[in-house]
Amino acid sequence: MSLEQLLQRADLWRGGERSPRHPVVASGRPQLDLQLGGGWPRGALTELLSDHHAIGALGLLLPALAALGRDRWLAWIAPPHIPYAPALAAAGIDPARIIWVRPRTPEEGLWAVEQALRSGSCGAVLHWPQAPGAQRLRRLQLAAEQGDSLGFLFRPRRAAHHPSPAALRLELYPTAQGTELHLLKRRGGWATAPFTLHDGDAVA
Amino acid sequence: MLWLSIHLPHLALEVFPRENIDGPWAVHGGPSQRPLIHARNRAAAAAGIAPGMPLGMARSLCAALLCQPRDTAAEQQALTALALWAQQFTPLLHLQPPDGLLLEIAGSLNLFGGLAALRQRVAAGLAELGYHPRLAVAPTPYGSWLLARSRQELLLTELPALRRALEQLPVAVLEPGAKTLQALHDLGRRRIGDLLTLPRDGAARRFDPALLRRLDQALGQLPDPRRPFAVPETFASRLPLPAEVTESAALLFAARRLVLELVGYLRARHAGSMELELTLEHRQRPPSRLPVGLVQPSRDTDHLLLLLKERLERFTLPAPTDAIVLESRQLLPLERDHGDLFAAAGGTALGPAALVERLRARLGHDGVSGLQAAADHRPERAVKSAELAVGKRAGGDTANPASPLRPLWLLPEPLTLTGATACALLHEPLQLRHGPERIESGWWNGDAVRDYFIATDARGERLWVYRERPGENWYLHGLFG
Repeated sequence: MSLEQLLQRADLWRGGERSPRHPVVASGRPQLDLQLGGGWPRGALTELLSDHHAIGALGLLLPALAALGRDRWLAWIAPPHIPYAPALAAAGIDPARIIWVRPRTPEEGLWAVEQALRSGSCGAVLHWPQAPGAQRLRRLQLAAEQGDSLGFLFRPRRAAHHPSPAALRLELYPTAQGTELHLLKRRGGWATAPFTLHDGDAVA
Repeated sequence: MLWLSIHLPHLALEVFPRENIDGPWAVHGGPSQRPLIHARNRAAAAAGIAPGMPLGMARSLCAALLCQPRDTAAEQQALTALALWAQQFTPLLHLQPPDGLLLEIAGSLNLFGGLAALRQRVAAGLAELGYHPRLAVAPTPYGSWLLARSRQELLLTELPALRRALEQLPVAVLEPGAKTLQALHDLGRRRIGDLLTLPRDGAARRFDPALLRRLDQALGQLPDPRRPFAVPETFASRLPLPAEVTESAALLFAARRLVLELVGYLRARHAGSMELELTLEHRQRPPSRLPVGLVQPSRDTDHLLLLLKERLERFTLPAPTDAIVLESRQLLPLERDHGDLFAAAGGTALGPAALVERLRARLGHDGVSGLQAAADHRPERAVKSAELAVGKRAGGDTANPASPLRPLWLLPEPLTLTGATACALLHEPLQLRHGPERIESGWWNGDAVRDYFIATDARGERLWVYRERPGENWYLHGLFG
């Protein structure tokens, strides 16, 4: 294998480089983009680890979702509550671009995520999985690559103890100052120290 | 006029899908007291079993013989289904019961790239459906039929060539009565050519005039008016199964033939199907009906099969199935074969409609919907699930900065904040950060007034709560994501 071929490989990380090769979608918050290495990774899985539904994890995604929803679908698979259309519209997301999927079993949910990611017609796929196995996650990561889609998995913080093929893993927890973010893993970069997004910044 | 005849000599066997039969197998007909072998497969032929043989004799020749009664109704249905399928090649065709189809193809030659190419298309399509046809082309319908029936798979476009070919055929193919056939044989007239050398008036007196009329029609000397096959407005095709099926995977195999027939029919009508219904017939129970809805019309074989597969996979067979029926009643015009209103990105593009159909086939129609913001000031009425608008471009900028702050999540039912469940969910105490915002429900809904607040709990979660007026009851209605 020549050096050129080696450099083409997606799984090769070159030290000291903030990997401009990996396509990203800007998060809409410069402070966050800086930490993420440009934005949310495209064609990849992102895990948002949090024990609360109401501390801004979803809010972090809204600007990117608004951009992604302009030409492709946004699939919400097994959301914990009703996505509130007026709030989404206020954030610039057209509710008519949302596919709201209510699977009956966790297995059906993962199947639907894979289909949606791979289809190429979803800009982003949001899912609240129960306890996906590592092998299923690898399949989802592959499907996201194939469909050039952004897969966001909302998982509890204890999932941080298990390895995951996701390109980005972000832990969120509330503090008195606002939501604190901890970057556990990202493509082409080291994990960083926790940082805080200030209230006014992180709120949906 | 140019006619392509399709003769299906093995139709009685082929109406049954035979994916798991490789041993000797036969279909019997005749009177029930004395059944006779009607058709048999190759393995049975190798065992010495021939059509016309009494069933008892066949069984004694081959103990392993699998035999079932002939299903003439299924043969008729198969012929009709084939006529629907063959509509893609020509709008003018006739049934030739019990085992043939006549297609008028003069007008279709250019479209399909010439006679040989068209014949090849028809042959390949029939093979894909599981048939072993004999095909012949001639300038007259009956002439081409006689050739196909006699295994003369010729492509003749001129009447003199047809006449020469027909002259070689035995007179028996004209299906004269037994008496007439005997009389012809007594005269030493074994071939059609021999019959043609007889003086016309004498022959007409001695033999059945219908026989000579049929011969003249075959030669193109008399018109041969036939009733064209009338295309029904909707598609339905039934397939009996040779053995009862207990697994849905085997049903899918059988359904493939029906889907191919449907696609041929849809092509002919320049239409796509908006819904399918697969009916599974059971011996002892009412049939199971599996409807499949589509978001946009399709006539793509693989796509339709995939939808049926997903639908079958989430269905538990209540009883073994002995026949399946595929129906499609709702059709919409569709010009191109593969159509999506906007192309999907990525290599494995599955259009948005195809994605939604696939999800629905597995999760059920109600498991997948759109989301709609409704113009209603009452929070629980301002969101509803909606039909997906596949293919529509996103509307303009929907953001309305003037609207008050709303949570990203709405609870399906407001949660009383005094009960034990609420305590488990929340980390009290709550601090009211924002509000009140007064929202009145309509007088027609009972005059409730709610004062909404944005609150944070001890762990920093942002909640949307309200106090109902009159009264002091607090409720949780939403979460800020």
